[in-house]
Amino acid sequence: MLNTLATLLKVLNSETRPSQISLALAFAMIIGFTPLFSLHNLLVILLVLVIRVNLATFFLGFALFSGIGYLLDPLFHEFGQLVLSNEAMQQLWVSLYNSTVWRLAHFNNTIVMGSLLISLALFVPVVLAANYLITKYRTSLLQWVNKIKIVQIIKGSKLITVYRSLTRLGS
Amino acid sequence: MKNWIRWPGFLAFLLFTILFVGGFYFFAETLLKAAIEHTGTEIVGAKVELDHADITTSPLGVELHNLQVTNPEDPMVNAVQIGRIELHMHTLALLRRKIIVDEMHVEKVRLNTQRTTSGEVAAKPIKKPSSETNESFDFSMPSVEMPDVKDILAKETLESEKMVDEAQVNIDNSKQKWDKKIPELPDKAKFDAYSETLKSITPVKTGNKLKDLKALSIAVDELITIKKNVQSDLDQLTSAGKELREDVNLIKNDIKAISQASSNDIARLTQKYSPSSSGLSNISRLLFGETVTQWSSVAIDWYKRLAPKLLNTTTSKQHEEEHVPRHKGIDIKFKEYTPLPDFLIKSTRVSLELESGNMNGEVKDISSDQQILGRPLTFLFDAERMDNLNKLTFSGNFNHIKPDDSIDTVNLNLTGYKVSHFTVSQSQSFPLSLDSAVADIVLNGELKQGKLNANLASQVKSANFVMSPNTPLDKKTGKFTKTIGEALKSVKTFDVTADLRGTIKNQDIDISSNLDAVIKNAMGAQFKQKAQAFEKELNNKVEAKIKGLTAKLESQLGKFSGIQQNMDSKKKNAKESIKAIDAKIDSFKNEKESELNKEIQSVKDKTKDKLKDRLKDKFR
Repeated sequence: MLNTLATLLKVLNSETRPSQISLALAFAMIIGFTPLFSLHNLLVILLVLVIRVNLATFFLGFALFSGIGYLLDPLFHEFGQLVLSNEAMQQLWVSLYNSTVWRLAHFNNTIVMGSLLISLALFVPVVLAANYLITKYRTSLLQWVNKIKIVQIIKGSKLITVYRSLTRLGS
Repeated sequence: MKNWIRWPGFLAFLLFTILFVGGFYFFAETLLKAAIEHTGTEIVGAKVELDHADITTSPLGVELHNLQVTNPEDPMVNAVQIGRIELHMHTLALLRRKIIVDEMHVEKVRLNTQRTTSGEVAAKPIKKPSSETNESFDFSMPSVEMPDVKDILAKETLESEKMVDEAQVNIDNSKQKWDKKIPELPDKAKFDAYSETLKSITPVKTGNKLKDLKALSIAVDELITIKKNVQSDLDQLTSAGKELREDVNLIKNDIKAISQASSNDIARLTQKYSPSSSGLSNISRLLFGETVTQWSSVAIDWYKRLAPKLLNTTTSKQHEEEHVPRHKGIDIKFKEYTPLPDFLIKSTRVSLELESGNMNGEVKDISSDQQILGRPLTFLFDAERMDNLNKLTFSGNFNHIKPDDSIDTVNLNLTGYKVSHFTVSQSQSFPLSLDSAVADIVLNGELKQGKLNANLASQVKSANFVMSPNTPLDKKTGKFTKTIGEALKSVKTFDVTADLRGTIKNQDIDISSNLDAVIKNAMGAQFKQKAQAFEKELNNKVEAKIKGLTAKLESQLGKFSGIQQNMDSKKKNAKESIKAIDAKIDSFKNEKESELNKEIQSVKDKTKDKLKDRLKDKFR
């Protein structure tokens, strides 16, 4: 828990661009909301690794959104069912259903469809909102947060020292 | 833009993908083995174990070695043990999440093999056959001891006894009623008072004729008034007498009905307790019921376990009620250009290694979606000249093309099956076995829209029944057990028919055999003698008991006769009083009439004299 908090603070307080953090968060949302072993998540992983997004944020976000995703499961199922049973789209679904690649993508599953559409719809709003909040945080709250005693304890803890030395070695 | 691209990320992705795919391939056989064992155990409810699984990539196939399926009811025995299973799948179809197998080979199939370790699943205790099921076919010899009539009469409530109680209540009520009513009726004192009044009514004569006539009229009027009162009392007594007679008749009818009821009681108790050979009329159910139930329950149990997985027995109604598992959702099925079921094994060739020899068979079209495939699952196994049978044919057809209109049929035909040391009854009171015999067995079963209808017909020849000689015989039934045993020893040919009807959850088994007649004949005479003695004793005791009770009731009718006599006597008094009044009235009336006549004559004479005098005066 302390480690997670420290990582979060480190990322927020670092020189990393807000867009790199918010984009990582948005990708984490997709992989966290949708079933992990889905074909589209392979593309998400590729993008996360190739685009210079913040990996620590991505992993933290993945844990966070997986939890939220579990709670939102019934909603994803309902939404996916609604979309997949939409009369106007039946022709599209039938043609996709008859394609091997799309069958591998498991698009006909209510949760895959529901969670993917919802996370894609939230992708841009999450990026923009996270961008705005991180910028705001850095300009208004950063100095105040650094002065809080608990933050100083965390920063000075042995675990963080080890973590920092390790990340330095890594870089 | 350059700052946004992390080129080593490509390498990392490639590395990640290679590791993932490689790892999956490396562990695929282990994963497959675990999946088969886990799913199999879930379905069977007892351990399913596999030695190892091999996966081949070109062509994509699976080979399973030594699959052991524990018998859920006997964890130290494998229900089935399969040496080798080999199948090849359509790769492209697999990418579309469909398992399509053209031909599967199932080799070295053995049944009921011993296990070295228990196959019991700790979480799910093995379901033992319920003791209730066993009890229903527990071989209990019909009772042949003459029941104690005293005990029967002590514990049974006789209808006639109930009627005696009811009659007693009626008598008591009538007694109370008449005890209350009698004082209200005119009594002797009242009639004596009438007599006294009657005597006192005498017209006082003054010599004045007119006054005397008036006194006579008043006396007559008084007498008429008294007569009316006496008549009213007489009417009251007549009405009460009629009511009393009705009450007495009702009581007499009750007593009569008690005698009739006692005959009915005797008939009922005779039927209930009389030692009868009717218990032997379906002894074949006791002899073969347990075996047939055991076979049918094993078959139904396996059907219930396997059918939902292999046949997709879910009806459209059940589909509507289907629960959506959390985090899994449901896969919506759309129209396919080339429709295929999710799971299909077109042909499964099975070779069984049985104790009596080898048997081969083929199962066609094992599929999860018969409605898509449009073909039912069929199977056919046959064998000839095995060690213990001449010919066997086992075929079936599981048709779930229309899930709401499913029909499953199985047919088994066994010819020349050599029965050896077959335990007919394990009961200690009747340890019977069929040491040797040759049987022809035909089984036809159908499960149509959830309704089960099966028939098993067996013809047994060269039978050799044996009763365990060391078993201590029961005191009460031992003689009869021995007689049945002796009767069965002489039976060489017999047939057994079993009908199974109901549903998968609840079945009724009807078993009949010509052995019933053999046993009944052997036992009939002994039962008849006992039954007659019992009936006679019961008859005597019930009749004696009821006669005593009715005599007591009849004796109470005497009181009502007393009341009746009393009322008759009062009525007689009333009638005599009326007669006396009438006589007195007549006497007074006569006296009055005579006085009147005299008076009239006197007036006439006087008038006559006066007229004579006047005429004399005129003619003078």
